Amino acid sequence: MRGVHGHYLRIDAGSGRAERVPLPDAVHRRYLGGIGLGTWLLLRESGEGYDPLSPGAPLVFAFAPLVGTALNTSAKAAVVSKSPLTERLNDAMLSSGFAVSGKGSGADALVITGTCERWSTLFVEPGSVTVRETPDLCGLDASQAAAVIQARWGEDWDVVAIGVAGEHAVPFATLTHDGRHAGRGGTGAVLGSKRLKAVAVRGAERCSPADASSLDALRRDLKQRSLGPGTEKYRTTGTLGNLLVFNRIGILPTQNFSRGQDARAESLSAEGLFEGERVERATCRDCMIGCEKRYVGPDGGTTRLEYENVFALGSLLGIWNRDTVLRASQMCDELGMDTISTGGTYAFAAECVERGLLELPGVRFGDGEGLLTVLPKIARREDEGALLALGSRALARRIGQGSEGFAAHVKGLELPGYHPGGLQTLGLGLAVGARGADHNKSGAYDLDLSGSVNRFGLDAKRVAAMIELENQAAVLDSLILCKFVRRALTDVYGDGAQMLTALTGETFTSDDLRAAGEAIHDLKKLFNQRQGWQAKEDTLPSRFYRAASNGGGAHAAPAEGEPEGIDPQAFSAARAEYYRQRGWSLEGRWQPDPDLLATLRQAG
Amino acid sequence: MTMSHPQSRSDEPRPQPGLEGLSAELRARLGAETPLETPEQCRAALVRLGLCDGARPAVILELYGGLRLKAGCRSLPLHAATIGEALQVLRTACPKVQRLLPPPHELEGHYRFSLNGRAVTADPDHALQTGDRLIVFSASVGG
Repeated sequence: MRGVHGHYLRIDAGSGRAERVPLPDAVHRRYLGGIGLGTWLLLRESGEGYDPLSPGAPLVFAFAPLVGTALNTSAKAAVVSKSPLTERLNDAMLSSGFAVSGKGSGADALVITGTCERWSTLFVEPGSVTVRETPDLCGLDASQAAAVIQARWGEDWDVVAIGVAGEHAVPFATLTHDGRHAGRGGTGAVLGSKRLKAVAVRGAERCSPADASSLDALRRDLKQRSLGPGTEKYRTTGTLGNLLVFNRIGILPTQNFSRGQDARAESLSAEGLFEGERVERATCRDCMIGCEKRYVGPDGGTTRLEYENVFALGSLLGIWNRDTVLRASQMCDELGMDTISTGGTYAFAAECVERGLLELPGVRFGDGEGLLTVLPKIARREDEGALLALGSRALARRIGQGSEGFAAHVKGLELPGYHPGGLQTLGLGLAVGARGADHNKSGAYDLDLSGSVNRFGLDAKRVAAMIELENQAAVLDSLILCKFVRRALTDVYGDGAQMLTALTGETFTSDDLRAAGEAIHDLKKLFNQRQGWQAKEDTLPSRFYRAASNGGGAHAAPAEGEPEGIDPQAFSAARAEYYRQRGWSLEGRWQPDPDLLATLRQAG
Repeated sequence: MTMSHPQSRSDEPRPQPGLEGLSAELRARLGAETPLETPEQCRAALVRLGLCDGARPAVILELYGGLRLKAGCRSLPLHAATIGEALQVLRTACPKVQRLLPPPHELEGHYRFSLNGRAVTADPDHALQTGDRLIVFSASVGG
């Protein structure tokens, strides 16, 4: 098959030894690349119930067929591991040059295990894998560490690194490359557990396409479509454009999801920033859309503007001062912490303090200075930061007293900036997600806001459409193409099949890609089952459910700004239908084919 | 650490509900000498310009994101019988939005509409009633 190298590197960070392991074409045909390949490799290279921070725990960087083709938004890699936050699958995406250079190093994936004796950096290039001790990089933020590596060993290295939070094994520590993050689930802690501060890749080993002229035509066509109305929001305001309209329709999570709306939301809006301030646009490598927006402060310094950052460190915490929220966002980037989990855990703790269940200085709703003070302590697990570094699930378990009911997470992964009360299909999608509360893997907000379903209700009829969105997301994460290009595509499966056919020289059809989306979800399920998954994990905290009525009759509509509750019976019925349509058992378990299990057991 | 505190919008005179943030350019287009202090005055100006039919329901169009930035207003009171008609009024009153806002029959997939903050529709033929607030937002809500 063209477009791929046909092998991956199995690297022991402790010894620096690397082994080239053949990768059959059949794996790419079935699971494509990216998330699909990464999950397959993780299953192959790991066992049951293992410690995600142990030396034997694999960290997989999986590239994909479309990486390196310069197709718009294709410069991404999947970073797959077991999450120290959830103890379940963590399939993250990492954007920009690292993906292209990583594939250019000559492998379809890097599988890293082992632990270094001293803090080190792993270097991978064609024909060479080297571990160099770099203890002087400890304490630096990720971008600083990358700059030192490039200055010392060459600007042509693309570097992914961890910040202080990863060094201290904070379970929601990030991996960072070029200002972008494999942000959720603690990938940074996994790399840090190997005493690797960074991974550097370089190389120009290209996989030449089978039909270059067809691929060129597809590339030009996608480029043109990527500049049309389907991507306008991302090109104009970026993701922060969500905030004000979400507030208007009552789905902006506010004060630990107790509300979906606040009169002060304008102060954090993209519109306000764009009207009065200087904002720059930036792009990932191989991207025409340029969703990244950076606010330029009075001192010339820049801060990324991302919806999830601003919601998680702003509305979720009742903090409405823009400068404070942007500074908190910047600090999380520097320290290497997932903003959603940081904000979600802080919000939970603030509510516990408010309810008298916890005493934590400087942790209160609306306390911007308190937030900025505690962030470095979380990264270093110091003082009150040590408790917040546990994440909301572990903290709730420690506090008890019913606090689990308002710890807003699924499987330990804190909820993103979409209130399930007003997007109830997404609520189901977050609950059943293999990774936990991940809106990107679900995409069900598209259905809730399509006009074709009642977003304040849930029923079994909409499950098929919800599954379709999940499968499409998995295919995009495995081709790889960014989900922000989704509306520029005519059909994810059909367009993807055309691209793969032109690249690989093998015929891919829409049905092949649809089947891949389904198969990838089965693999994710299998990994989680091996790590002890149980059906009771596929739920939302009780805060999101409608309280049981006292004797029947219609439930009272919530007050303005207060979100709707999900009907627990409707949720259970829809979840059962989800398992059925996925081909899983009543308990949500998947029985894999013996041939697949045999393939996963084969030694490389 | 000292944080600057941008002047709160609550310090500014509060505009009439439904007539927020009209830019100088839009005011000029509606008539520099025309009083535009109330939604009714704004609608009357649009009727005088022939941009909408005064017999249609009186509604308010709320704008977000790129549309707001290009239109030069946060909301626009107007007369329209359907969502599509309201958007066409916007396109002609604020020509700068035309690049972002296709004609109603070409809108498929790119925008969503919420009536009064609750129901959501993608149908430009959806009927409007007097008093409705029509919220227009991008169909791309991923973030």
